[in-house]
Amino acid sequence: MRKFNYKKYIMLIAITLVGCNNDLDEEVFSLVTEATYNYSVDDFGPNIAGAYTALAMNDVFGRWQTQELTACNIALPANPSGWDDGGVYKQLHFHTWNAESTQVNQLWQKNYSGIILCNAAIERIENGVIPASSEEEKIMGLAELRALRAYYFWMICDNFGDAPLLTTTSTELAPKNSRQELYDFIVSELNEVIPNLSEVQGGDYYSRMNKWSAKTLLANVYINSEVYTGTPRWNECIAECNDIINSGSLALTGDYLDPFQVTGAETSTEVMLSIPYDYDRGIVGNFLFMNSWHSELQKKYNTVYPPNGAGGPKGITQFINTYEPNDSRLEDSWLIGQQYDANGNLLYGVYDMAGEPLIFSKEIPDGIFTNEMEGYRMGKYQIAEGSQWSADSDMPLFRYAEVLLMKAECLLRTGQPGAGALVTQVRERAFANMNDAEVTDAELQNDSSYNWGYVENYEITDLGDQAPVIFGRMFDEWCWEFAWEGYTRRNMIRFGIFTTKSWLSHRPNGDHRKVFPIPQTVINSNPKIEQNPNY
Amino acid sequence: MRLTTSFLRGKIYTPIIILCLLAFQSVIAQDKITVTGTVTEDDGNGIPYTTILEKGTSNGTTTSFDGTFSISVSGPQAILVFSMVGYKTQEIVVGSQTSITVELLEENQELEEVVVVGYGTKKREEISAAISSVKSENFVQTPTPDATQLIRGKIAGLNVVTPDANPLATSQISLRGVATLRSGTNPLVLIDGVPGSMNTVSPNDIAQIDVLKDGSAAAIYGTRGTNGVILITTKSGKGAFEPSIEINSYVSTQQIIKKLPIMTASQYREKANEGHPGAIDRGASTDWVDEILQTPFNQTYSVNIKGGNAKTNYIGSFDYTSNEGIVKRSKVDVIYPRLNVVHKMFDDKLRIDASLNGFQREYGIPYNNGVYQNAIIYNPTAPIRNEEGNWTESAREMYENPLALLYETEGENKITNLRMYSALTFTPVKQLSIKLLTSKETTNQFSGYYETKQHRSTTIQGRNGYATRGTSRSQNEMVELTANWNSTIAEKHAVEFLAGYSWIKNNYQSANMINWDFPSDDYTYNSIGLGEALQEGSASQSSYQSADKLVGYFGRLNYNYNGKYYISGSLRYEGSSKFGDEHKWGLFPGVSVAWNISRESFLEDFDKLTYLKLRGGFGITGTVPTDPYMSLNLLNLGGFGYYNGQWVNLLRPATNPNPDLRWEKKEETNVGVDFGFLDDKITGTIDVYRRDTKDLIWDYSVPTPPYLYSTIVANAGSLRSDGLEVALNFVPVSNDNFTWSTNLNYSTNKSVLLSLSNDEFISNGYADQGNTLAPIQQPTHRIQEGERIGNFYGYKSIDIDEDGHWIIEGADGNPKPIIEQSPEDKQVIGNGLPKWYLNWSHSLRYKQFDLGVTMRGAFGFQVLNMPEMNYGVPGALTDNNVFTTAFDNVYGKRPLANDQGPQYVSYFIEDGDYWKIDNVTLGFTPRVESIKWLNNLRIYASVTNLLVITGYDGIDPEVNVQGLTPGLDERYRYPSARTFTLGINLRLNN
Repeated sequence: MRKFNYKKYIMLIAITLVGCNNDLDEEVFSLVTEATYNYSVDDFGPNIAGAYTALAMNDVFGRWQTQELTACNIALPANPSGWDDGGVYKQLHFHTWNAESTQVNQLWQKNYSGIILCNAAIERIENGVIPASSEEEKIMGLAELRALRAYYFWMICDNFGDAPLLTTTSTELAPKNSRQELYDFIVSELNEVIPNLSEVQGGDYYSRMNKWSAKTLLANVYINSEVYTGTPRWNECIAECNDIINSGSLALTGDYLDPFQVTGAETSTEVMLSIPYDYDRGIVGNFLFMNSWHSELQKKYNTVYPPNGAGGPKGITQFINTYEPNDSRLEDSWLIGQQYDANGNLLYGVYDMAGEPLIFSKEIPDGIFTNEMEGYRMGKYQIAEGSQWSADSDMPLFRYAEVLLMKAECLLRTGQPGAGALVTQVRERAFANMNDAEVTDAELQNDSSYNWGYVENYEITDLGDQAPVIFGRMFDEWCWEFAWEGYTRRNMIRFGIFTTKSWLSHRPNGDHRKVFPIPQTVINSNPKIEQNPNY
Repeated sequence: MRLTTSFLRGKIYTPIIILCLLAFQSVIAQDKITVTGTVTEDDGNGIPYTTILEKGTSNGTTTSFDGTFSISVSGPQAILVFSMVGYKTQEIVVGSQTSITVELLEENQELEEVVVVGYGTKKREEISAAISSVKSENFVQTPTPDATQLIRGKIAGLNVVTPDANPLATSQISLRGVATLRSGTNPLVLIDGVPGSMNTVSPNDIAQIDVLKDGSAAAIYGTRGTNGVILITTKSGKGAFEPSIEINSYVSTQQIIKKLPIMTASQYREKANEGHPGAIDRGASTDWVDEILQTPFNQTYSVNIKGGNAKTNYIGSFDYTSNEGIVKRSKVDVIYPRLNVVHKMFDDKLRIDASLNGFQREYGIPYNNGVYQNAIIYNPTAPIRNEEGNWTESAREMYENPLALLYETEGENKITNLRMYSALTFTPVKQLSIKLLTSKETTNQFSGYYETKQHRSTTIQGRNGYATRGTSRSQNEMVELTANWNSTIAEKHAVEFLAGYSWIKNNYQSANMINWDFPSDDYTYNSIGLGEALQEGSASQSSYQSADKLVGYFGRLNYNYNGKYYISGSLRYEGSSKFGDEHKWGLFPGVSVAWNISRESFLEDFDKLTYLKLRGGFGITGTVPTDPYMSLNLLNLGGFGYYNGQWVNLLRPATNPNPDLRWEKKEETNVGVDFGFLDDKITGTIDVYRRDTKDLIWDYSVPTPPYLYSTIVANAGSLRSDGLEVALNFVPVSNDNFTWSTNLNYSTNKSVLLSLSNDEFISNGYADQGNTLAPIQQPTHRIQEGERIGNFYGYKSIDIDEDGHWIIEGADGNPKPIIEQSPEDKQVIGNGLPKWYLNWSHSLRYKQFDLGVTMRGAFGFQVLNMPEMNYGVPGALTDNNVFTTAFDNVYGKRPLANDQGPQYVSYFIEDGDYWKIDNVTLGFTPRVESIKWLNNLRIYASVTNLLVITGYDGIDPEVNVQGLTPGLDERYRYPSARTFTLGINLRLNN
């Protein structure tokens, strides 16, 4: 046997092994990694802008549905096109939600995401990872992020009560802090940063935390202080409102619907913090019209997609009945009656009333099931011709009318005069006749005009709690002005009626429902967090 | 090298035999008779170089290339001995014959069968792991678009499901249940050692398919072996043979196997006249399902040429298949070219194997799910077109004119795949072979799609013509170096050692553009820049690229003592770029032992038992995640934010990074027995296994705070799968005129999610999966700790109230009306994964006729009848159609109420048990000896999906069983079809 020449083979093997690169580092093409990215002063703005993205995140489900479908103005019954979705919407109406409810989970998720994004953005500035072009820019940027973080914490404090107060990017699991501690933190943060915030309204500061947004936030925290801490702070709220009003930076717009148009909001004198929806820029989520309308209404604005079936969210008849006769906000906020396509032709039903003219009627039988035409629909946010599934009209989170009504309510509650004039100021653009618009301090003390009671087959069959709502007319004013804007749950809690009254198919189901449960995922994966009482 | 020697069947010795025979030529006997004839295989192929000796003399010859011979023998008393390595030696008395045709039988087919294992081949007898092997002659003789159906029903535990008849769809394979959650259940498919898929090569080019079922066998493929490994060996040039042409051609047509019970136009009109809410008579009568279906003409032509000598041979093939599909405009054309050359040099010490193959697949628009779904529900009284000649169309979502969907779209898709492959095998000494395999595969796809101005995207959505154009390219490179040492020491100790290195790099890139608002339909997608949407800033463009790498070192040691005791151990150390920096590498061992009891002396006298072997194995395999970059701290610069009055790119983390992402590992224990009785008339295999997957890669829920996003891709949780497989082969009759062999196999599997948490990631213990989609909008399945994979999770309907509304079981066990449904009332209402499968196939041959029958069934599972759930209730009747059964009594009481809309309740979960006569093929092989140029001819007819025996109400209970949402009979699935085929095989020689 010939001598076996190993060398040759070892050479061959060696060449192969060397020829191949065993380096297993990932080669990244279409993505950027923290490890390789070079931060510059140009990243200062994007760093701050990134922290705002949680506002649009799941906003209709997480914020809007938890604030409106749990309350007395809007319901989401099933209909022949579906919309039962396993009962997830009715759970909100019935106050039977639990720790596994999607919307509750999303409400928590979106606001803590906002907090984490703020914490990360703050740290990047503080530790110099992202350089600022000037010390002033740095101070203002940090103030803006801390004010924004306070907004997210306010949403948590308002909706969940006790919750972790997290101000660093540490991934250590944190226990809950008390609602009082959250409250104190929000107030002190805002008071600390407000002096460093920009006073510019709109323009460069549109949709951002400027001084006026931060003060509106602080006023909101004060007006609900009794709910959060047991101690009312009406006068503190009035002081913040006064600062805003006296600054002269803000004013009501001429038309009630101006803040909800696709264009013009950026220069609005009324809109402060908002969600600047823009489909082409990927800021999506304003699909209330898709949810609330009827598929045939696609022909109204030739939207790319037909609205979802026969539509879900619709006005509760008891609320619609509270509107005063000449209040233009009824027709401005709701889609009512016969519907037409873009050319003015009649639209018709296609589900259980196929072939019949599509007329949105006021009466709904209950909160469980309606036919395809029952109930008034969302008419507030403008839908542009050819819209995608998410509209380009922005959703204001704070607007000037709110400042006026907050001040009015606090004046009312502290027995000071002037509430009527402020409310009248808000109402003026909604009534053609000045006499109709006018409301007095005394009238605002009246009970609400809402016919409370449990409804079956179009009729109230069980009155439930009929005790007068204190400052009930003020509550009605909030509902008329802010219909569809996600204020109702908070207002009902403050007026003490969220867990006592009956409306449509809702009956009271426990006082503990003034706060939502901590999502089950969080309870399971963070042993330090206890569930809220009675959940 | 080892891979190919298996096909030589000893023909490598032919040059030596020729030399020997030349030496005998001078010896010439007296009283000679000249006998001529042919030596053939059982399929009629001539066997070249067969040695023919006159018994008791040194007189002999050898057959020529085509198997013919001529020999002068001493007289009629002479006995001719025909011998050839790999075949049973046969003796024939010459007598008065001057022309003899001898058919040589392959030697001990079952046990001598060559099995392809990871990086090599072995005799079936030497196997100590659970490996199943099917050769081309045992394939299901059916026309098939992919290789999967060739082995359907042939291998216990390997289940092939063809959920629809879409010519673009491929069959789904699952082996031994569910072993991983996030990466799918597809086994690793290697074609001649190179990763691919079941439709990478033409089924006509496949010589053998081997399946490594258990962990000990698959461990040599370490990181990719969790779902098992399917090794496809293509036909390759072997030995020396005369040039021949083989043609395999068939034509087929198809029909839908069952039509759903939708109302006809007159039935619907009756409902409208009765005043049923929503029913509206639109005046016409249209059978929408008939309008979209067609009787397809499918055709396949496969030509294969081969030839060569002992040193160089080649095989070339070209395959064209055109499948029209039963839905109009779903035609797919595929060509598969292939060229393979084997070249041997330096006394056969160097062998070069090179091949070029690939495919080109062309189709128009991929089947639009809405076509069939809308054909079912579109109002049967609606005309196809309105008075103005336009398609009737409604703005409703999920309600679209099916014909407009078909005809108002234009498109083309061209996929070109090229695989370059070379293997250099160097065998310096008999015991050692070193093989260097390199391959490069590229797949390019170019697509165009256009919706005309008559499409609803314009008529309803006002897009004014909508086009997309896209391209993608994927490239897989591989280098593999293996060395194999094989020797027998002191006659009884057989040792084999394998060492290897493997390097794989994948790259994917794509670009897509969308535009709309075109000046004319004439451009379709061919002048995409003309759309106005681009100028307006609403059109979108995207491009993407990713890459990953997998590097492995491996070794295996096999030892057997005297053919009685076998032990095999393998180890693979492998690293993937997809894991965290400190966790890229993993170690995957496998070990198996076997004891061939039938070789023991104490069983020698037991005649009835021909073979008995006990096997046991353990192996650890891994799963490479599908997506790269999951461990990296990625930044998202993609989105926009409104800042300083302008849109700026955002800066925020893109995911929850997990630098600790590591290998998911599956441990599998397998115990098996192989046996043969009565001269191997009965043979069989039984395997039991347990598979435990640990460190499951999954999107675990994590708390916010502190995590930004609610899920993280991490390792936690575990999954267990237990099963039993039995395969039995019988040959009840086997004689010259009639043979009947039958194969029966049974498999059962139970996959349970043990945990979805670990110390770091504590989840809810469940995750909802699947979705009914609108209008019900409910998850369909739930995977839950302690529960089987595949559980349906929803409301349990138990009755119907007096008004005709569902009554469900509440969380407290009490009945409650459906309107009060609340998520906590949901419960497990069925399971979509079959508990057991049974397959039974027959192969019969009577003289020139052959008959193959494949039957198979799946049992112990449920199917969610989604068409019935959505369209089988009166509340779904509106402008759209529903089933006639919507008005039948429910729970034997009364029909559902007119306002009872679709709900996901257990009433629509039906038992899916089925038994299918899947394939019947009748062939006829006429005698063609008189035609010199024709070597072999077979004509056949076949029916696929002939008969389904089931209690299930839908079209076909054979639905998707892969992934985490098995058992969904989707509304939009391309309907199943029955296929009728006529085919011809012929081989020409010169």
